[in-house]
Amino acid sequence: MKLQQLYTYIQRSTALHYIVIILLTLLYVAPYFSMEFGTDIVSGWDGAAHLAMMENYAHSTGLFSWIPQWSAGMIWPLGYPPLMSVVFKFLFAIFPMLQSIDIFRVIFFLCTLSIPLIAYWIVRRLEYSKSVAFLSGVFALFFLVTSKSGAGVLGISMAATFGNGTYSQLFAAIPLFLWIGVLLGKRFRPVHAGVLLGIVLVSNIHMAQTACIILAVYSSIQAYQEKSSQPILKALIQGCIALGLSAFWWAPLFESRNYFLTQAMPPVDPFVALSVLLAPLSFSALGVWHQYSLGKKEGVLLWLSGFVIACVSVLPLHEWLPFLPLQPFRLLPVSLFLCMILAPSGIMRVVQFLQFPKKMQVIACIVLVLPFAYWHRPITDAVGGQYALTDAEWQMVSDVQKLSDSRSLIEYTYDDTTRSGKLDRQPTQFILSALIGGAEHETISSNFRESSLSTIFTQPLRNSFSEIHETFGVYCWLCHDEILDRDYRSHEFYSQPLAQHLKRSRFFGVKYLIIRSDKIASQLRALPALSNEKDYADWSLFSDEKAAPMIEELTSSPLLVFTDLKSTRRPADGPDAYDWLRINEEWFFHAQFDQIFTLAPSSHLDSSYLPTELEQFSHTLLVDYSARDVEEAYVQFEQYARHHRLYLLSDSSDLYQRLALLENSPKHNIYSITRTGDVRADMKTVLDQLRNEPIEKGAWFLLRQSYFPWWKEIDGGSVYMASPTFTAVHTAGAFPELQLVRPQSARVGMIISTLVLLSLLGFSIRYRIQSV
Amino acid sequence: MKKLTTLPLFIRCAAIVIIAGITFAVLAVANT
Repeated sequence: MKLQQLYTYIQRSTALHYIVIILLTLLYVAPYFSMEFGTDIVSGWDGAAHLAMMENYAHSTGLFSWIPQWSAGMIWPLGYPPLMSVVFKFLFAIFPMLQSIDIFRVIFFLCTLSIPLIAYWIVRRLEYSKSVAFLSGVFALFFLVTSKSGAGVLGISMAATFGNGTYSQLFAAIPLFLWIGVLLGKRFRPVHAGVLLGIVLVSNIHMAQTACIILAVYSSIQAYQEKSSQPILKALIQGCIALGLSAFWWAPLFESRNYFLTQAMPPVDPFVALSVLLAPLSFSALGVWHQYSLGKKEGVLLWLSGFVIACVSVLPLHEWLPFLPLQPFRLLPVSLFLCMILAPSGIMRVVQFLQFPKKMQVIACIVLVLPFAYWHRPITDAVGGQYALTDAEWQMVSDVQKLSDSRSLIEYTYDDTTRSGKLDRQPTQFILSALIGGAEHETISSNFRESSLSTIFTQPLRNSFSEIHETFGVYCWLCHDEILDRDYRSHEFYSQPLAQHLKRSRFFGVKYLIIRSDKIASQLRALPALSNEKDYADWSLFSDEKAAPMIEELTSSPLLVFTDLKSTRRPADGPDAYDWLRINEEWFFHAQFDQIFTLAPSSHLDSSYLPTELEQFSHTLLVDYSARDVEEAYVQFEQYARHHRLYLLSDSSDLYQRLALLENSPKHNIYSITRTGDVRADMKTVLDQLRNEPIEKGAWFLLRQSYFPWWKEIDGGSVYMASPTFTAVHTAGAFPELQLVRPQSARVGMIISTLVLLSLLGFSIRYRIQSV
Repeated sequence: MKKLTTLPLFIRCAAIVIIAGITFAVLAVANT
């Protein structure tokens, strides 16, 4: 009888279930974490970069700050959801006695630990039995330690987080799973659901996309089941709260969206998706449909959400929606998670269906659970081991960090043999980049590629000094993108002599070249300009005294270019391919750096700012002929061409035809260049035709930092984007001083977020919110 | 449903083992 009581207690005690799940998870993950805590470098491909960025951001003031250390500078955390940066900034401030690396690891240790607990809670919210919920917690642990990570399923699991470094996805998984739990049950909690959804939106873009799919599937099927529009209304309320709360981020992001890079990734191989999902999907289907027949209907909604996410992840959305930062393999983890935590209900169903005697039921359950338990390798294998630098590398980091106000380029290395003959399977280049760039020094590469337009140029520049070429996450026509199999004559770029690449690195302000491969090092040694080499065992540090300064006074007038700035849908060739970045890719290719281009703030040729601002430029190139008032634009440029040089790229527009007629007029300086559709060839023609027009000193300055529209000159000078993505300032004879000024959209966004937050607080305090 | 209880226990055990085996095979493929 006492044994029976104990058995009942074990079955019924939620607290005991939570404790056992925690202990099981600890048992599993503690050996890994004890090892992880003993190392100096955060694990994961992007790990060191994440921590370095968090530390850097913690020292800045304001919500959005300028981080100059990587990729020629970027605004942070505008291009990425900002919550993780803000949370760590807060934690680093309130625990100054702790090392930031330890705080970082503790947070992700706790996130990992809480996933199985949340799984238990979600399944209990479905009103499934406690035994099923307990097993779901165990299955969530199996999900966490599955070794499958990479192109198929990437995110949340330990292999993904601590191997691939998808930290922000685990960070966002917590509010996402809590939100899923809040969605369930009869009582609708709009504030809880809306706030959690808002937190997901500002935590990770892939989890936000996943949440949108779940919300759409969940509410539409519920509306269909209930034959009512209430579920749609509930979804709208949540959406509005979430959008309102996150307005502080998306409002300025939307306004400056052209300054951030995106790349839609190819879909998951359907076979990979099917093989990963088949077993949990089948068991969970069995379970949820059985529970449905018992009146517990919401499991089906979750299962269908997981199924739809899987379907979405195998669709070629990168072709249909190329402008969306959609990485289908980052969606699939949630699908797998939902199927995994619902699978135990199916296992129970099978055991019940076969009607085993009561004593044998546990054994039958264990037999069915075992294959899932097998579905992992030791975590350290799955994660890929701990990262470490050699003593010489640490010495190099310490030495280069001290070289302030200068920029370095680090050769890309991965999965290659070091000079000492050791196979290096860690992203040493990114670790060095994170550590070196985190201080006063700057490095041109970063794992946060989407936040700086300069990445389009820093990736090929770094590759041109690397034996192995790498590109990821951005559309770049000078690179060869192996993931998307996109290539546009990248061999013509890379096969140029190293002296030509050196010309580019100098223009980019790269004073130090940190090289590992013998091949590149010996090529550099052969160049007389780079005699100053310092040896750090596997690495060589070359100094280039001819590197351009970070701020340069221009001696000739820049060329004003009228075209549009596009960060997505940039074709390589064809009549529409002449956007700012595409033109500059070819400008970078030809490396004729005595001609600097500046981008006109508006591509409309008849904008009101023009008459005065045009005078600052002794020559102008028209590429895009859009004008609201064609006559006004014609008069303006006809006048301009009387005293300045006007270059026209041929076009089918009336405005071009009319201006081109003046080409032979002795009163006008107009030069027409045929648009052949081959941007590389046409840019060569343009560059060869341009003539340097000397200007007086103190008028134009080139700052080798990425341009961003928030930069303003404090004395009212004009700030332009200059070749390739740098900043040019026109001043009235004074040295330029720039400051980051928040635009109206950021202020409005912040007001909306504050108002929504305050009204929710007021609402929660005053009323107990009833179901809508 | 009732008929299942009349099936010999070893057949029900065999069914469980077969299901577990298939699951194992599918997950093993997924892990490659």
